[in-house]
Amino acid sequence: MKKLLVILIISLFSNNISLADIKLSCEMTNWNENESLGEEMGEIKYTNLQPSSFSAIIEITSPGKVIARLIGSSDTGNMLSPFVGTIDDSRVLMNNKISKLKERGTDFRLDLISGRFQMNSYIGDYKYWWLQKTGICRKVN
Amino acid sequence: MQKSKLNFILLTISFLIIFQSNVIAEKISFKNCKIIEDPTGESIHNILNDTLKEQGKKIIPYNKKESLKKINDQFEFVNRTFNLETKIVEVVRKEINKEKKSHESNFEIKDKNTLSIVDMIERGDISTAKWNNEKNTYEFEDTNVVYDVYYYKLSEGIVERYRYSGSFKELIKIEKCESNFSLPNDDGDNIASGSGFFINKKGYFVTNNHVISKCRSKSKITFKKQDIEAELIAKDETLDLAVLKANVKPDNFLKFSNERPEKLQKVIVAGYPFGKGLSDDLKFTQGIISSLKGYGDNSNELQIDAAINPGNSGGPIINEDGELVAVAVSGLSKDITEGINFGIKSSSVMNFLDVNSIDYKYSKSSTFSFGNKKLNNLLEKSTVYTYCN
Repeated sequence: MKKLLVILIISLFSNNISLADIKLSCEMTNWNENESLGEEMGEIKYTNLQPSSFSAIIEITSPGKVIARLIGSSDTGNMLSPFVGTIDDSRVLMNNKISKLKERGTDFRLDLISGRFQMNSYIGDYKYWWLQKTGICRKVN
Repeated sequence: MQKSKLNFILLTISFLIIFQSNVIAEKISFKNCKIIEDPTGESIHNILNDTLKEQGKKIIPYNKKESLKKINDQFEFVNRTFNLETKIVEVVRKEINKEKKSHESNFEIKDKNTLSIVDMIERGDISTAKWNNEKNTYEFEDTNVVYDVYYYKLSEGIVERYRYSGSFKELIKIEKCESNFSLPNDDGDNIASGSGFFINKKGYFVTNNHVISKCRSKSKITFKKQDIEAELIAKDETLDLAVLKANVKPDNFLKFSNERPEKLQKVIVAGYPFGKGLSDDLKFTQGIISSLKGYGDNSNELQIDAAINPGNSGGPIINEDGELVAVAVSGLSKDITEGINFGIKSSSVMNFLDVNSIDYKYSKSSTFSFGNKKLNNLLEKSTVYTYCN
């Protein structure tokens, strides 16, 4: 009876989302810089890039929670990693911190329907990103 | 009527409260956790060896068993308790001659057999380390953030710790604990079960590879009415043999026949056909060697007419002197045949054990036949029921 109750609790907390890793092949196509670090979003300098490829492995650590590694190529050099965050049926929202837990770090947003991604990097507590990288990912089997 | 309705509602509420309180009380415990894999320790040891080599000093080879023992011996116990209601795990460690320490962390439920924790750690950046003579320690000018992910495999009692740093993911440690949790099908719906037999007094036993190949967790044996886990030592998929070791000291074991099997030789098969569904008693069938070749002229096998049913797999086929002649492996469909069953010859089993450097004994000479009582006693003490989930 006790075992059944434990299973019941686990079943209640965990749903049936597939927990397999998600492997992505991505291409970064834009490098955008916000030239102001003030309270308002400044002028943005948009730069188109030669598509720069990198890979990503998103592991689902529990239903709705993920940890991801971005694996750079000669196009991109080393990529920031790892990112931790959440996943639902339409998007992945993750964050990476390099040196301090309290820093805002870099956000990674991936639209699971269109495949478009945005990586927004922040300095300190500034409200707006100073560097944005965008592109597109596709799922790899 | 109104009163009975009210009573029904009150009863339902009471039941729900009792049910809820039972659920809240549920905890899963991992006791006496021991490190069984420590790749980081091995890496550090190898780095130290490289330094010793550069200095022209003698290197010390990494001894996994000794290193793990040294780490594990530092602790009287390491226990974990998972509270499923609060989703908090309490870890209690007791180092030898030191105060007991405990800490708590929040966990997530990954699936019905796995819990997880993602731990973000801010640590000193090694590239900025400077030695402080006064404090006799390293100080760091900067820090960096790494992520440790723990997976707790409940039925197996396994704790895996991975470190994510940059693009790298590395296994830091695996611990094995005594778990009080089992999945619902752990109790009866075993994935595979069969028979096996001890080949020495160190707890090594032989069975068929197909008995253990589909196991999700470690194989177990029933030994003296206790369920004991067994380690897979070696396997041969072609021969369909596996040798495992359980941490037990059997009262007896089977010796291998040193004589060539002969047609018409009388044989006895021991095992647990149909697992424990039939009964938990060891069962015997007897017959003769019908052919010295198996199915499709397989010279590693012999054919017998003694009954072999599912669950007999891996069990011993012995002669009247109590020596191993073959290992039960398969039978043809009972719908269209009768008494056509196969065993792996003891010579093939000996070859398999030899190449894997596993001790066994063979009879030097056959003197006289065992009586039924002695044969029964020998087989009861040397044959085991093996199963897994």
